[in-house]
Amino acid sequence: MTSRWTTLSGSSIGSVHVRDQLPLQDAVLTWADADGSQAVVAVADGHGHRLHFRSDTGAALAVVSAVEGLRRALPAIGALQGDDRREQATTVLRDAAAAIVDGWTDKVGHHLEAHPYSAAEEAQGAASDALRAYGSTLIAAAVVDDLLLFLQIGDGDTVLVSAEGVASRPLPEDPDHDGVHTSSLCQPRPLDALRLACLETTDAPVGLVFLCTDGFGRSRVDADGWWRQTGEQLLAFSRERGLAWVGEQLDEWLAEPALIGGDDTTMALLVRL
Amino acid sequence: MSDRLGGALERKPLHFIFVLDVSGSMLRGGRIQALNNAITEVLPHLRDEARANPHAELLIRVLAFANEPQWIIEQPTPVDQVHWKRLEAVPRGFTELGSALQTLGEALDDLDESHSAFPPAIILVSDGRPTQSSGVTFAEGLQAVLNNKWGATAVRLALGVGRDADMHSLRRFIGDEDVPLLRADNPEQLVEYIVWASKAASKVASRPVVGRPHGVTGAPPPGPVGDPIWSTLG
Repeated sequence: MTSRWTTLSGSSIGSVHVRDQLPLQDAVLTWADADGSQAVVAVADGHGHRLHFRSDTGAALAVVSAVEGLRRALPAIGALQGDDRREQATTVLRDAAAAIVDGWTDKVGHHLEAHPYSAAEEAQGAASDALRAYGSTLIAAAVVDDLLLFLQIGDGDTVLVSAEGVASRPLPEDPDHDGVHTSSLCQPRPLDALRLACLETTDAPVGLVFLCTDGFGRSRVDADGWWRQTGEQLLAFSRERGLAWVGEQLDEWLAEPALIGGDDTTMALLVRL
Repeated sequence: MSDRLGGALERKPLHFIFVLDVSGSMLRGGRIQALNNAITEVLPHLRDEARANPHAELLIRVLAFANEPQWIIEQPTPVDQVHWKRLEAVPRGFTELGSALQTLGEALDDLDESHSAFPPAIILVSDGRPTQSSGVTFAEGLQAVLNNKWGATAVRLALGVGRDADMHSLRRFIGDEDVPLLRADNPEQLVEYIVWASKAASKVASRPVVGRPHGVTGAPPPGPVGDPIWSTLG
């Protein structure tokens, strides 16, 4: 029987952004079709440094590009047949990721045409690296029938929770993440930093997936285990108290790390019904 | 099961360390009184900064130095709990800045390596040329600070007091040519500059970015206020 899926999401501005009069530089976008057989979630974290002064726009364009790109790819992935279906899906996903990066670059170009850099911004080198001002990470996940797809460029967390409540990370660690710098859509050859995965939920039943920007986990006392606890809790809450209750709590759950950690905090969930 | 998602959160400590010159020359022209007034005046501003930065736990320490370094507030103390007791200058006391920086370096060594924290903010105030009667040179003391991970990544600011302040050494302490180096020539300037430096340092140091923070932003206080009485004193 085909699984049905739904999405939830929320975002909270960080206390340092409030203090420094910066905008919310995270973005989130979700989509699910009417019967819940396909869904897409995406989060993006615009870089906070002053050189990335349009990163709120960059993050917004990143999640739009991701949802567009994955929605376009889902019919082809859903139609795949054969024993090597997962490998074929990975190939399609890689092409979709390239299209998402191209789509983001085009959208940034259109935005820049409509809103050229000022002389002062150009004096800071904005024109010599036109994408830099829009720098952002991107994490996205999608489901079509029993295939789960993940892609990520830059920091943040992608967590898969099994139907038994066991959390795992479906993507490899970012070898370039040194705790200071993150990979970015604005870097030269962003696809070099692409991490992706394709999983069949028939192999191991899935309860939910959550994606979050790094603001959610950065200030946790249990720096190594918070994501496991978060996954277990989200699954238990959704089963015991219902998704409507989880949706109602999201703003409060995100506001606390945004206040104490200082950074914008965003989460998107893909939940199997 | 707790309703809090993801487990407990903690604010990161932001260590704020004043390194203050109480050498004999600070007795001239009311400098030590002005320094005490400046610290008294800066504390409410730091409490405001603490309230404006709920993501950081602002902890104060104060190290004074003349012939030798002496911790005035040795244990990192939440700014709300700091009660300032006026410092006395040491008559004929030297300016053993190298020894003080060595002591500062040792204190930074004691910071918990495993504990995540913001880079410390260190504000140095001095009115003279560093002496080395204790055998520790300024360069050796500075190196002791820079050899420490926290010392190397700290936001370091310095204020000279009067025309005899060794601005070259203070610039070396700051290390970053883009960070303003200020000299106060009267009590009003000293208060104004310490308040500015404290706010700038806490703001930069408490950004939620790991590693060396980007430099102090914002312009220093506008032009000199009051008469330059300390620059005319010998």
